[in-house]
Amino acid sequence: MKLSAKRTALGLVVIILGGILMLMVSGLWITESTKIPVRISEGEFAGMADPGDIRGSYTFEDIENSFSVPATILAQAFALDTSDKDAKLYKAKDLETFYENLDIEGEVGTDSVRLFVALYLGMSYEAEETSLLPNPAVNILRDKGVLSDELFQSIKAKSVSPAAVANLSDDSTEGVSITHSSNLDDMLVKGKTTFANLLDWGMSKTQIEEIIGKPYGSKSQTVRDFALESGIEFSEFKTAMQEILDAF
Amino acid sequence: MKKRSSVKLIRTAVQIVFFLLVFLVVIGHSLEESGISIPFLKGASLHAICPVGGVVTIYQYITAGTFVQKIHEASFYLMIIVFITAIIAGPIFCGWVCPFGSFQEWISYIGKKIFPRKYNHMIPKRLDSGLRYLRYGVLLWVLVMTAVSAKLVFSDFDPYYALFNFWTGEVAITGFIALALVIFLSLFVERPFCKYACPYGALLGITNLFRIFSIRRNPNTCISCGKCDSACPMNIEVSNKSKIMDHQCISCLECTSEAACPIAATLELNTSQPGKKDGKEVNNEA
Repeated sequence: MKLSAKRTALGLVVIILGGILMLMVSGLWITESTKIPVRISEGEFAGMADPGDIRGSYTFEDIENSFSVPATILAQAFALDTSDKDAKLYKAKDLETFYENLDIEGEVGTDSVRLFVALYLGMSYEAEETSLLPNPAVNILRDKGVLSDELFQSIKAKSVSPAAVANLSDDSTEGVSITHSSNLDDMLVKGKTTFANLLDWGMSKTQIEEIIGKPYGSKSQTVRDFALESGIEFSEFKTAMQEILDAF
Repeated sequence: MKKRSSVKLIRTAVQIVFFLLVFLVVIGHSLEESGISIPFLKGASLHAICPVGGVVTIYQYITAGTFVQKIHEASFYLMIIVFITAIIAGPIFCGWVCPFGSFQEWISYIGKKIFPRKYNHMIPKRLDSGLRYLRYGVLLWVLVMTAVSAKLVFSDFDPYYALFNFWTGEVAITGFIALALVIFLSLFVERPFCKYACPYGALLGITNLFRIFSIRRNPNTCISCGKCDSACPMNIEVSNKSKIMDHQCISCLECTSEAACPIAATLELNTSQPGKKDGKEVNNEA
């Protein structure tokens, strides 16, 4: 039996496009994640959704639905601005873009979300060597009491300040380097406290600006200097900010 | 001349259809990521509609029941569909459908203009023969590394991914380098990526050993003019074989009696030797 070029072309198109059409009709043509993570099959957490299966395409809402970790907590942990965009709309893979300018080895990305969610739920998770957590995420985990001292120290050693990266952008990021967290235990608003420190401790840009009443300038400016320039008592800002920080 | 045009035209038309289809789907996906949706165009990532993804996820699917990240059911089923076509007619996907194969072929037209005689014959035969097995090494590396890491390790080196995603910011520098290299080499060699590096081509190439429809030559009517050899983009010496089982054949039909071969019913995509039916000679002139 011979196949001519015409028959070959026709057969090929029918098999491939017809096959795809049949898959579409039968609902099997799935080109994106179903957003339903696999369940853990054994051990203490058997039956629960596996944080290790979180994909980059998962929105924070998907994660909230599957893991009961509120999207607002995720946004706060990863220091994402929720003034213009709902926390639920952020995707895990968005973090790679927001934190792309880290000048230390490592990355904040989808694997960081997996790590955070697992720890938040009290599960263990073997993160990639290069995965980092932003300081606010570490603070949230610490305050939730889900970290042993040893685990806290190891996570803290691999944490980064979100203050100097893109999503919290203003034009003051230039020349500011990402630093390992060193003052997570000391969240007291003092005269030397900068806006970067506040962000570092987990306050969102929106929260800060609601207190100071307008956008701040440079992140490296102290809150006290900003208050003086604005003709406002520093103590007014300090009290409001400390209340939020104490609530973390 | 007329015959040759018909095969070329038909194949080019099919190539353009699939190239545009993939391009539109990927564009649709990019726009959807930006919050813009186009009516009648459902976007999907390139990974999601690439049958290669189905191949590299087999191990994870068998062992864990899940797909490698970025791979979904579509690529898995597409892999099965392409395997069916390959069992029927060999790596016809490579010669007629694969948008990156088509892209290289279109670049080759420039090379053929620059080097009309030497094009596709510049690499010493011995070296070329050895390099043809390199793609099996790539296939093995991709399968093992994907199984170990559960990630699409090849995408950072994949020129096809780079071509269809160069505007997205998701392409690694190594992907761009691979793409530039393939474009450059395509000016001298036809389908260099297919010949030397494509892991999927390597896998589909194996079906040349047992495909149902093969390129078959009738030695009784062949005049040994060598036009089939010259026409083959993969440099297969068609004129001295009765059945093409070369692992590099892409079933493009450029060598057949519908195209390069000047004698009717001498080179065909057939289940039996041209000029024979049930093992008996038939009179083609009748």
